[in-house]
Amino acid sequence: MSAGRVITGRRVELRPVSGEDPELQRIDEERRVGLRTAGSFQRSDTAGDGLPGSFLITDRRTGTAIGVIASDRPSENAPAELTCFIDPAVHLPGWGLEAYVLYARVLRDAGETRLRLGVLSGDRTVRRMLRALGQEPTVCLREHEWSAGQFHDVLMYEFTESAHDTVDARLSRLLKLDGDQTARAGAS
Amino acid sequence: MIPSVLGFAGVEIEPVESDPELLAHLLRSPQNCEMLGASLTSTTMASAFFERTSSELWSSVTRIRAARLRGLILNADTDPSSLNTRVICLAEGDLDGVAFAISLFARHLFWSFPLHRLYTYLPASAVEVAEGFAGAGFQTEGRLVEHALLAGHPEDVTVLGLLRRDFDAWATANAGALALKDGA
Repeated sequence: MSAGRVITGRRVELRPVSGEDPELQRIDEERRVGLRTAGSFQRSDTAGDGLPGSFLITDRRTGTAIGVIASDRPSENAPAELTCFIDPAVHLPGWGLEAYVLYARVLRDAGETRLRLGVLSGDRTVRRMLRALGQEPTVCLREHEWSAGQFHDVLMYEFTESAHDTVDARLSRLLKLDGDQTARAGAS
Repeated sequence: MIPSVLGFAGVEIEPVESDPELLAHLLRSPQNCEMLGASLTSTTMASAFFERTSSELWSSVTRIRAARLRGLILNADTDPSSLNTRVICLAEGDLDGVAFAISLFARHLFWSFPLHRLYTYLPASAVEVAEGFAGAGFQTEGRLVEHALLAGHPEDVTVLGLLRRDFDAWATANAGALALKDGA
């Protein structure tokens, strides 16, 4: 189980959080008015259901919080549903993808073989990336999310174990992430 | 809470504060347990469920009254920031009339609360209930793979959704008395 430890990537660092964290509250405030989030954002601040809880995404260089990533299990047999928000005012290209790869590896380490990802239909960058990786949404929740002044469809993507491996390998190459980045970071 | 009984095509729904015996009975079906997302094995647990549900924002619990159909329709998991809520229909008997009960409940929710969207998650094997939702204007939005566990076996879940404008178009075409624009 990786809960409680800092996960270090090339550009970002994931820090476990609690509901009292002032940086988390600031990010939550940004999230309410920003676009780049998907699904009903369920923060699990304590490790429950075997899931690793919420992590602040920080700029590794400066330590500034730039987003939050979390997972939730909506029902007993459902895969972990992963939600990610990156503050559009401060993020740089690739940071969200790197946070995704690192967090998905934590979920895999926790024994999650299937993952589900909610993406706002307006998030064209992530949708293009997923399409390029051969992934298509299995569900389109029409106008399910109100954000940035309008309703957005939420697209649900399902990653089987093999699909996850494919996505991880291709994103790791793209982002120049080591395969064992998470493991090496475990000691930090 | 629905102020009084609503009726359409021989099917009625009535507000109910608590009916733990009926809920516990309906939850003997694994499909219904999955739809509710809870396994309430006693009337005490069912009573607590009613108390909890009735205290939630923009929630209603109704009992279906029809000749050969009985059940409960309620809503839960309301997201006030995105104006959506999940509709749960637990029914047994002649499910041909369940579409009327669902349409009455949808009309009540859209009329009473500023909701933009209703949705439901159904085990893929709950074909008749899914047809009831479709008959009330809900559209299939996709399938979640092995989302549910029914009697120990993984099962896909179908997602259906209904937007306020969809409901009004459906009602105008199929049941003018329920249309929001011309109703009441």
